[in-house]
Amino acid sequence: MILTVDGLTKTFEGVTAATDVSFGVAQHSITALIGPNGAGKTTIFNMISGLLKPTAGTMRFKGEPLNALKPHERASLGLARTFQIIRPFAEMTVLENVMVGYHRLMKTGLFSAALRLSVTRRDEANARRRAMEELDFIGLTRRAGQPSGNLPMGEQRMLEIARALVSDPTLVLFDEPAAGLNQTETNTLVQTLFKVKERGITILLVEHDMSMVMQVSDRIIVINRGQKLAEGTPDEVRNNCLVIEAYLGKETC
Amino acid sequence: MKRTALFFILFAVGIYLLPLLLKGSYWMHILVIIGIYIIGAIGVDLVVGFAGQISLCQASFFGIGAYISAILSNTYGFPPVLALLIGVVATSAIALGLGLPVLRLRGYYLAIATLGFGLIVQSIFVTLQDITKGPDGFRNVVPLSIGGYVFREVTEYYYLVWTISIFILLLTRNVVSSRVGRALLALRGDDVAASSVGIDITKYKTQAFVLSAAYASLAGSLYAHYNRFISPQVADLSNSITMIIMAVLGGIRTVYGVIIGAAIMKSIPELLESILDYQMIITGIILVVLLLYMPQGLLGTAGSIIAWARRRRAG
Repeated sequence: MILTVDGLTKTFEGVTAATDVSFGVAQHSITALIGPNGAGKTTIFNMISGLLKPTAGTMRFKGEPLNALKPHERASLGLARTFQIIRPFAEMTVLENVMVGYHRLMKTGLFSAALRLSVTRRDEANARRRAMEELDFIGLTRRAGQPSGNLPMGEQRMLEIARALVSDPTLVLFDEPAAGLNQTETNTLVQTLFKVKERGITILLVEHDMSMVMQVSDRIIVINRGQKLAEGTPDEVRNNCLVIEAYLGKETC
Repeated sequence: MKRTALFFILFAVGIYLLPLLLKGSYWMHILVIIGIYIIGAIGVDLVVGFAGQISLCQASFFGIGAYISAILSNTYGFPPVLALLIGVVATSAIALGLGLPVLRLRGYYLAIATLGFGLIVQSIFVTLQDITKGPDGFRNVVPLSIGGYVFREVTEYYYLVWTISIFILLLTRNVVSSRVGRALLALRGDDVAASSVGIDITKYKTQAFVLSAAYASLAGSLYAHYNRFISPQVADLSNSITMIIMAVLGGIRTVYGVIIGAAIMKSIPELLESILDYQMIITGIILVVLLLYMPQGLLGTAGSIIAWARRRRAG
């Protein structure tokens, strides 16, 4: 297991958003976290990436405890993420956006940057080369020099994925990557997720688009009312009567 | 990028040739002051423009540099260059102590902290009469000297100051077009997204703030040794705001824009000298009009026009 979550609990001023959630993410797999609206999926995501502090429970990534680490320290370990609401840096070009993602692999500091020492020149060349490779990977090469704010929604999402991939992460957290995408864009996204997995990168995603989740996931974890309801392969989850009940509200069990 | 470099080289050559035209003129003095303020205003561009943090005490750092230089070189007989360097180091340390606790927080806390800090600094300059010579100001500051060479003529200061400010402009240009500059732009745009790619936002905000204070201190020391008179007025809030206006007017986040901003802010009062009574009003009107019609500043607007023209030619 590359990522393990044990007894994760989050309470917001008396309201419990997640209760005693435990699961693991196997290396080189695509694992999905699904559940009805307000089930607590994004809360769990934000605890893993460090934006929220858990009330109780522990998280481990590559065996290292994550709880005490800040978001940027977790990213430096190779734990990248994308956001449900797309967050490109609007004032930068597409290429610069991806270069920002290469941050953790660079050594340039204030001093070496000011004097443009060889370490800085090497960093810049590497960042540019890797960013171009990722733009090629997601098919945005022709957009490299454009301001990122002008891209259509689907391409902005792809840009975010490139920014997450450029630093060669071990695990990428995808927060509702299909949100707001049309069918063509979703199909491209599915192909991209498979290509990311082929590169040996582990994926954990939160997603609403059920057909997409069933298509890409190796393993699915179902969350309902902040608790883990079920876990298994897409087929197991599809036929689990507790899951059907949670989604359709019928008593079938 | 290449074109910018060409313009900058032409500009630097022009700067070095200018004294041939203006020799003996009062404008030489104004140009030295402009060169000094460019250094302070670049710091503002870093903190306010790139890091997106509102700092209202650039003049305080300018004043601390100026007073440390004056006190160490006059009262304690330090060589002026050493006094200047001690000033830069001490000011950076003060900025670190002030910035670190506040920059950990999100939001505009730095504005409030720097506002309060500015008031304290100015009142120290006024109150500690034994050391700072109080509200009347510090007179006869030792002129700058390097080795045994003493800078006395305006022209000498002109070459020294402009060499330093051109150097600082280039250093800053390098910083903002590197990993550090991208990190600053990223955290300014979206600090959550920035931290999720591994950017330590507190660290970069603090670095920008400390570097900007070091620039201001350097500018203040140069000012003290050149002008040979300083008063608590140099650390006034209005002077901090003047430096912010320089950065904004020239074009925030353009770095080179501060040259234009500083030039305008320091020459308008001179050009309007004959109508002294209306000087402030006219300065105010010019600023309002410029910023209403060119919110990106002069250099920023010029850049947009060039980009627009290029797109028209291409499409």
